[in-house]
Amino acid sequence: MADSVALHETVHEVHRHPAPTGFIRKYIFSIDHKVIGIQYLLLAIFSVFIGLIMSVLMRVKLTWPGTQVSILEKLFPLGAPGGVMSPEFYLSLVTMHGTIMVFFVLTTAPQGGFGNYFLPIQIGADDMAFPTLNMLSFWVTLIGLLVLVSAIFVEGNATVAGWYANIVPTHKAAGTVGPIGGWTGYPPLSALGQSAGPGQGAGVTLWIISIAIFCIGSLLGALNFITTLLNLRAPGMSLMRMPLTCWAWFTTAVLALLAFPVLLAAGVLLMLDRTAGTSFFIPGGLVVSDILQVGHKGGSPILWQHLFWFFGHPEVYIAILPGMGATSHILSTFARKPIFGYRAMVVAIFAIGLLGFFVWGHHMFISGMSPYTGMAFSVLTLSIGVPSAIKTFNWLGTLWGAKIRFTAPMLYAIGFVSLFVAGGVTGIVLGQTGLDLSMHDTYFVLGHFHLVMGVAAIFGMFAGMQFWFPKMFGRMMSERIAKVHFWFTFIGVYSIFIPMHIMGIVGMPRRYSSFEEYGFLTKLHPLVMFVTIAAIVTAVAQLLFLFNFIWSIFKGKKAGDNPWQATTLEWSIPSPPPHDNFAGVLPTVYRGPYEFAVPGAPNDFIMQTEPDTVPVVSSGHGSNGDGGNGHKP
Amino acid sequence: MEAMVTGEMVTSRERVVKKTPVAGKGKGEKNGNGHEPPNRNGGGPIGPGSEKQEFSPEKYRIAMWVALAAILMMFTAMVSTYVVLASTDSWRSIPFPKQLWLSTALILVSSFAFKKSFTSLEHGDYGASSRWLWLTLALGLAFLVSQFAAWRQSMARGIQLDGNARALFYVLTGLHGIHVIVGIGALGYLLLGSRVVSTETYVVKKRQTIVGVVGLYWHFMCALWVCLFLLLLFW
Repeated sequence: MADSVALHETVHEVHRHPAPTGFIRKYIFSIDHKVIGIQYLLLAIFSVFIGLIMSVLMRVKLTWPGTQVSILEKLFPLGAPGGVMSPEFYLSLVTMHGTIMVFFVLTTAPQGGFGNYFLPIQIGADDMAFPTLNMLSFWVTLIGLLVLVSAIFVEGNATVAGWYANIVPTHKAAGTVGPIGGWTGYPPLSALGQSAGPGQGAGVTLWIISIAIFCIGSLLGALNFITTLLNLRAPGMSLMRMPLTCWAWFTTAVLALLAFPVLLAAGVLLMLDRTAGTSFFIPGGLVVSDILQVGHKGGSPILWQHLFWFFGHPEVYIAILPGMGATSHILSTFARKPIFGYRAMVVAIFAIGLLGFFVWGHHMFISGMSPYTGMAFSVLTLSIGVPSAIKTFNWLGTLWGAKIRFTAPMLYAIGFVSLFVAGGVTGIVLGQTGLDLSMHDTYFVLGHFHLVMGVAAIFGMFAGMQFWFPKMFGRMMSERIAKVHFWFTFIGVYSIFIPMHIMGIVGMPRRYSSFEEYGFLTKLHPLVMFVTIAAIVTAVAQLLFLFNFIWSIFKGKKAGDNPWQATTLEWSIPSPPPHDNFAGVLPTVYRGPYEFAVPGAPNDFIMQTEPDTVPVVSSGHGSNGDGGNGHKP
Repeated sequence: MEAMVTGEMVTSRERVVKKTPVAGKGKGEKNGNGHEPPNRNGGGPIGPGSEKQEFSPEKYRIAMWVALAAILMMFTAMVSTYVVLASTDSWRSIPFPKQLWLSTALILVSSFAFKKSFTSLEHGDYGASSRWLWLTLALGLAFLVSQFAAWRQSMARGIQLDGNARALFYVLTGLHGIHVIVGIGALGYLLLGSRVVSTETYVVKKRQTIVGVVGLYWHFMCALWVCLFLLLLFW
């Protein structure tokens, strides 16, 4: 007995939770943050392809309105009679594409996926602070997704609607695909129930339930992230020695923590409006579909907009900040230079997060708000340009004069910078109340936000996946396939979204399922066609990524512990990492995260775990990149 | 190009492993404070029995404050709704339910009782701590009963959900009530664990931490109720 204890002490097999043995505990109901991270990523990949198919269907409907898609008739006999998409079908595609992409892709993958996997490792922890809670947050999120998917079929498929009607007798299938409230679910239509028209019945109810479930899952996740980062950092891992990815995930978690409860509260109130006969968001004397909604009086639809966008704007940063973190991390690694202005980057991340809570009104310039309020929101909105520019210039400063290694993750990261800038500058345009009034409901906004928060964030994820894949699966993703995929996608997304700005300036309204009745838009048809073809090509190119992802798990080139010659803690352990990350030995951190090309050092990079025997970069704090000039060869 | 990048496989894990373990996280040491940085410098092995060593009071306190921030945001949204809708023309105030005075008194006293329980625990008087905890629980339940009575009174006066003032009264009290029910569950959990009497430092510390964290929640719910009470009373 005593012997075994002694043996134990030398082997250091110590974890806060022992390694699981059974398949279910290991891969399904796992409390290991690494498995949960991959589960989140798989959930996001599943969701992103559904969202992608929906966007292609929308483009098809816009470009060739009479197209017959036979599979649609089988799945949704009511929504697509004869396989032809109805206008309501189009609107529900708009809604579900937005909801799935924003919540189940842009919020889950960067934070729940990469953050879950790498935050504990990068700060030197053996797991999240609350592993079981972590498992719970994933499964709650998954249930949210299942409820959302069921919303599609409840409205669009009479058989499913029949089952549902057994539970909720008042419901009839509406002949759409899911709710048609938009991802913003604006009342009063979303608050009235079936009397508001097709697609406003059970689908919207399920949509609200799904969002509420998602809120809870995200809150549990945010709680875990914040506690982990504050409490479980390895010795020596001071806040200013953390990789910028950790700062980004931390800020994102804080944003999620403060924003999602507001959406949850708003969702509860909207649900009560639909089911309990309250009228928080329904004004008095409202006539919808020739029916006077007599039961309701005295609510404010604008109130929903305020509550929703108080959540909605920080949500944009929840989607993009992890991408910024990953980009900073990857740019520095492949430029072989310290990140330019580490401190400024940290301050900028926080400034963006903080300002993000004071600009929600810029989504509501056309709601009839006071011009003075509009001006305040406008000034605050434009001021976000300052920290965003700080980050952009620091990225450029990092690349300046560097011997860049143009690997695939580096290409995606540079693509992120490009897309973020291209989408960001039109944010300056839309931030002006006067310009926004005329462009708000046009394709200009569509082009703007898809570039800046949609595609840019996706490129952040591509970069992260390509960069961290060897650590997660022990094999490299194919560089060659990834580069082909990069160029197709990079050129593809610009071909899709730059023309949308032009359409918007011409005056093409968004969310319309058809433009045949608008004479002044007929000249745009070639452009619409071009965008659609670009969208289809880009969508098909994503199969390259999917193939690369699956193929590389099994057949990729074996990766070592540190294939990119990077400096942070995740590269100091085997690929893939053992169950408790550091095999029972807690790492000690001696330096900042981006010590590349230090003069006098034997290698061109110094790991964070390297003791102080090698010369320290420039001045103070043992931190990095004060000016990024510890670099002169 | 690729060869250059992937060529050198650096395993600084070896460097980490080589590091000599520093004393301080051995088996016998039961400071229950696994995550205090000074003890972990040097990156030595944690040693067996670390499930105990890893108990970190800070972790639970941070998590509770973070959770309270989220709860506060949700109630802020609800209160904002109340304030915004109260400024509309169609707002019809409801008569203030007198019953709420009793509720407020009950929850304030329960908060005080919890404080006494915690102080007794700190002094090592487990019996007194337990008795105060029972009182807290009873007062919490009495608060819920009182709130329910306020609902009954309102409904008896013909108050349905169709006015915003009325609806928000139900929403605010109901949402707070749900949180109090969660708190009562936590109190029950504390009472279940109170039978285990041990003088081991680790056990005492853990008990104090958990009671302290539940206390944070309970006092927060009390303060939150006072704010809601004042809102309903004056706005």
